[in-house]
Amino acid sequence: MNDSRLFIKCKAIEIQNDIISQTNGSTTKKSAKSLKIKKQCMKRIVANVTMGNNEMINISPFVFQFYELDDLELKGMCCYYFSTYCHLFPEKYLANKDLFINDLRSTSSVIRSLAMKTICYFPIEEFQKDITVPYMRKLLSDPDSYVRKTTVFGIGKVFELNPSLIEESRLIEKLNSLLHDPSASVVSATVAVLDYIIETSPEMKLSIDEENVSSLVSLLPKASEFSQAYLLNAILSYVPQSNQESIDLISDLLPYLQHANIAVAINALKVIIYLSNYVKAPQDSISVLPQRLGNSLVSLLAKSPEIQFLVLRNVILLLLSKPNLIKLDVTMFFCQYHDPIYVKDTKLEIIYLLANYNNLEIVLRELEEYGTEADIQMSRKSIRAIGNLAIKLEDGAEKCTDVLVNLACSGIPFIIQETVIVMKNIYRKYPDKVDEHTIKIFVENSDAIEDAESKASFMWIIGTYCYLIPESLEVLKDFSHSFKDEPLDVQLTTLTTVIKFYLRCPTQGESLLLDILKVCTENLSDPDLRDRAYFYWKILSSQKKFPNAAQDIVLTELPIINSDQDKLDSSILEELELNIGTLASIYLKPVKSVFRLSRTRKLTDSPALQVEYNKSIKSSNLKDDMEDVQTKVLKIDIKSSIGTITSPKLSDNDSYERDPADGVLDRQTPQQRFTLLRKKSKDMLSRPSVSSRDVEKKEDTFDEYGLPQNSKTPNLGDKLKRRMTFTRKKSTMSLKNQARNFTS
Amino acid sequence: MIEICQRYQQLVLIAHGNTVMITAFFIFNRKGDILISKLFRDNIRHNIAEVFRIQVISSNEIRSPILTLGSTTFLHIKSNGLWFVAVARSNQDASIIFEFLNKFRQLLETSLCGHRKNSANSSDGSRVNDVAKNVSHYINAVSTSDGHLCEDDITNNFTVVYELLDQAIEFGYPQNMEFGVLQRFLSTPVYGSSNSGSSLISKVTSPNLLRSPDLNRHNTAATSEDLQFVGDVGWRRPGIKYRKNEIFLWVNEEINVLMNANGTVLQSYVNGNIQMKTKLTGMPVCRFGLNDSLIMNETKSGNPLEHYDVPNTAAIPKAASDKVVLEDCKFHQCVELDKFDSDRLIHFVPPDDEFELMKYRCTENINLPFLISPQIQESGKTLFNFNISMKSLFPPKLFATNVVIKIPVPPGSIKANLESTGGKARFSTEECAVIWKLNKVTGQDQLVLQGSVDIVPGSVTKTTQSDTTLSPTLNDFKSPILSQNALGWSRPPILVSFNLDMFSASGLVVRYLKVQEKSNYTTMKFIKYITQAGTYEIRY
Repeated sequence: MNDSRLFIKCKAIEIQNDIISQTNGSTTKKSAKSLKIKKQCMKRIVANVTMGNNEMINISPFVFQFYELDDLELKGMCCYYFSTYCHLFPEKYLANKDLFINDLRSTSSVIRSLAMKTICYFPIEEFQKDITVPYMRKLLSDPDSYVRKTTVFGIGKVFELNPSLIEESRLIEKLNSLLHDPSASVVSATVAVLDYIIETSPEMKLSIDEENVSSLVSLLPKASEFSQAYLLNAILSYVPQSNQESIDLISDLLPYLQHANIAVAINALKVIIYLSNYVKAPQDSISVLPQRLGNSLVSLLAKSPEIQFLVLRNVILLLLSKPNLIKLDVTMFFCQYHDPIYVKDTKLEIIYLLANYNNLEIVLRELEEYGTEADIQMSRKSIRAIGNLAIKLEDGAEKCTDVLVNLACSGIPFIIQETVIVMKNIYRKYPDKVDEHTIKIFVENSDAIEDAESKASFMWIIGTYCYLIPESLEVLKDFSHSFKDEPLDVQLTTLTTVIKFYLRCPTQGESLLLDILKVCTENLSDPDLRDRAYFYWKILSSQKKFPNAAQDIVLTELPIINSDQDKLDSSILEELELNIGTLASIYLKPVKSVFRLSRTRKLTDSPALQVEYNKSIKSSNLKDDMEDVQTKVLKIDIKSSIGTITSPKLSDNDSYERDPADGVLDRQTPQQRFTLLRKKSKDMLSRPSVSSRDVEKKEDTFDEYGLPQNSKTPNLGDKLKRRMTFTRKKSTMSLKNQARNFTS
Repeated sequence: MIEICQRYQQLVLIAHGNTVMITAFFIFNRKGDILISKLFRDNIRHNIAEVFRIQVISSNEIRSPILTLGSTTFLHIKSNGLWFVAVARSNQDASIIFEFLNKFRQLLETSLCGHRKNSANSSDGSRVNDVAKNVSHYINAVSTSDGHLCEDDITNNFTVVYELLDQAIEFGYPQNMEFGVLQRFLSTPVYGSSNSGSSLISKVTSPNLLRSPDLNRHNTAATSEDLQFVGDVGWRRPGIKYRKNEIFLWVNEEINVLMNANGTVLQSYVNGNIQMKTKLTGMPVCRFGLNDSLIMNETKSGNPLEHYDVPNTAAIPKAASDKVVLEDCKFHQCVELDKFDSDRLIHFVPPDDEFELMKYRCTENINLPFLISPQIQESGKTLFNFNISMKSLFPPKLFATNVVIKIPVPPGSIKANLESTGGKARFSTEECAVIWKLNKVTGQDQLVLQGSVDIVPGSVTKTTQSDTTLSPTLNDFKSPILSQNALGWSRPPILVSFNLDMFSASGLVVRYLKVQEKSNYTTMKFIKYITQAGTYEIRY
């Protein structure tokens, strides 16, 4: 009875013949033996359908006959067949509609719901109007909650196929009434389907008031785990009007952080973070909150690597947006030897974010261990992390530099290369803390420096600090031998370095300078390089007219870099907070840039909304709400009982009940609102934005982790990676701009 | 007909935008063949499955578990050569989808391979230790004999899988997947895999249905009264009956330690879970008590043993403390979470048969069972000497079983001379390690392994650079970590695995377990504490 042998593709005719021959032509007999044969044949059909053998379409008459027989197992398989091929022969379904109607009226709940599930897949308009919709209405009031639940999901399915039909037949109102159903599974199904409907019809919106939210919360203990997740998600549509409300709701939801099911735990976390936006200083008003949230997140790390990855990405998000609200211990994020690479990467990011003066020692020791790992990528990333820490923590820079020097002394090539790049960043931040010993190490190991970025960094260091390095000239000569074969970046930097060296030591550097300039202008074809060489030549030759020009341009101090690039735009953070646990939170990019068809979410205004956190966003909310005023007329006007889909209320602050204890929201005069608005729009203009049209045009290129690489928005994903790959492009860019300014 | 079908496919793909949570679900085998496919939207089957096969299964590098192309995301988990894939369009809740994938895999394991696990267990209900699992994790062995899901299980029972899938996801939204509940919807029998002789293993039906004579004959669930009214299925059906009421409790702890070369503990924590197997009649309410520090603070501290309601003192594990700080606990859905939050009481109506009651984590006051002190000497580049001394810190009455210590050696090692005061040590070339196995280690004992390994010179990896190129002046700057790395080989840590019974690494003790049901029966309770090594790493 080995079913795996049924997984062979075959033609429909063969199965047909089998059926006829084995049952002696009487396919309607119900004896046990013929039933068994029919089941076997049906299994073959199902196996073929799984393998994608579309030839099975031809056997449909037999499948209808099998469906008529009163066997649950057989019916199940027939339904699988129907749902896969339903769009292909609509007439047959209409012809056989009595079969389905009988089942919809059956006394067994299981059969009723199976039939309902199946007919919802049929895209035939006539069928839907005559049969599907009327029976849906009937079964929505079925005494068995299981059938009601299935029907609710069926409405969703039919909505996908034919949205106007659902709206016309007023089934959405019926859905609204089911929000008050006594059974938790039905309510969660309704909430899920309503959420889906809203996603596809942007003019509809779910609004929940206080009474409803308390009924949702009371349903939570009775619901099964995934239903709890859907219910929690629905609470996001509730806008608390006062501090106390939010605090109470948060306390009600805290227990759910301890659910074994991560969907429940993460959704609970999402709702709590959302509600904390409406609480003044949440880490103080609910003092256990940071510890609880932190503990909950860390326990989730004990699960499979995929879930760890999801949790870790969300930890990064939370550390960037609400660092005071999460208490985490950096030692829990140390990498273990067997973690997959994507987990290790993310843990490194988190270690960087969590490092501070108190735990710097431990962190540096750990990063040093990673630096000596056999895996080159991991090692390089940890060295970059050390470098970035030196830039982030000014008092700890000495210790970080010591560690880097230790690593560099090992003599291992890729470590040296990475350390050069990182030291260059450190010197950009602390230009007066240059140490000759360190540079000496690099000089002595200069043959290990092979890849483009490290060569360019090394050149920059030599150029800027050539007065400290006696061997500069030899090093430069070495590098200039291979000048022609180097990539463009290296060539540009070498050129600049040679100029710098010449300016500091004219006699020694002259011959080298002339060589290089000659090569650049005559033998190489890149226009940038040639231009720059000519430009330098011009400056140097006009030193009589402009005696200090060269010094001013070439040897100026560069601006000090800092680590503020990790700060993400607050509106992006707000949106991502409302999407904790979703795919967008893994990519850490604004939802529309990755999923262009998604609806964006943002915080709704209310008297309890914390202004200090969200000053700039508030003004953008106001702007959108003003748009809403104009479009309100066009919205679907559904009877507005609480908890149903209604058009959004105007965010007129006067209409809300003010909690006198809230000193939070200052009344803003219209002038104040407008100035905020203008400032915000200016900021918006200066920052590049992505429209959906742009997104469609771009090709999808992805790096090795499946993360898309081509978004134009300044987003966290790129920033984090870019921070790890900080280049010296800035330095050359500034020179270039300065040069351009000079010539023009 | 087929041509029309394909053209329609393309049209449908472009026309529709957003869809439901999970658009499609597939199970692939190792080669990329589809074993199970279910679409919750029409006609995107071949495109999507092909895309996944090409992009993910055929490519060799380590990937992330998600892959987004355009607006479509593939989320997958891999288990024992099987790929469980969910396809989602647009921004969906990844936590729900991953939890669904894991739970569905567990569901399939319980329903299709449960018999294998049961036969591996001994009769008193004790658990086969999973130390083999730990070690095999390092060896990369894939075995089908230990209750893990394999391809044959799925192909032999694909109709069962489809039935389960039908109940598990509705309209793309995952639903309740407790096996005890879904059992009643199954009308098909379950077959074993070809390894165990492809015989009919069980008719997977609930105990109730078994007793009803009609069903055994017709095997149709449709006529059962049980299924006339399904109701709000939770995690336990009413009307379960057993002659003997028993509860088995396992406290499994995994101790994770990270020690550095000096013997200081960098990181230590215990991940524990409590598994229960209940054979109880009716709808009992269980109350469960631990020596949780937040409760213990309220009761008077005296002789700690007084607090334990356990009549048999042998049931109290060694290294039990009077209170233990649980950093975080995660509970099964049957536990009333609000009661736990307010009063730290664990009340629940258990599902039938086996389930995991709670998971917890403990970082303070961990009792370390072993202390490993490695001493390494590298003479030149051809010899690697080591002296590993292992001391067991637990009480002498206990003994640890299946102790395996894996000491990585440099690549290119060919021969090893090993001497140990206990157990057997052998050198394994495939894993580049010396593996020291001890069947039984008693407490308060010390054992030593001494050995040396010959290395083929110059066969170390490309990340090396020998000492001689460094100029002598730089020796002053060498850090202690790197100076040992004369071979330029980065040392993976020493890994230890073991199994220790009746020892509580965190100090957790089950204080009481009370069962209340209206017919007031007495219950037999069996409890076992097992400590295993999680990631027990010692750097050197």
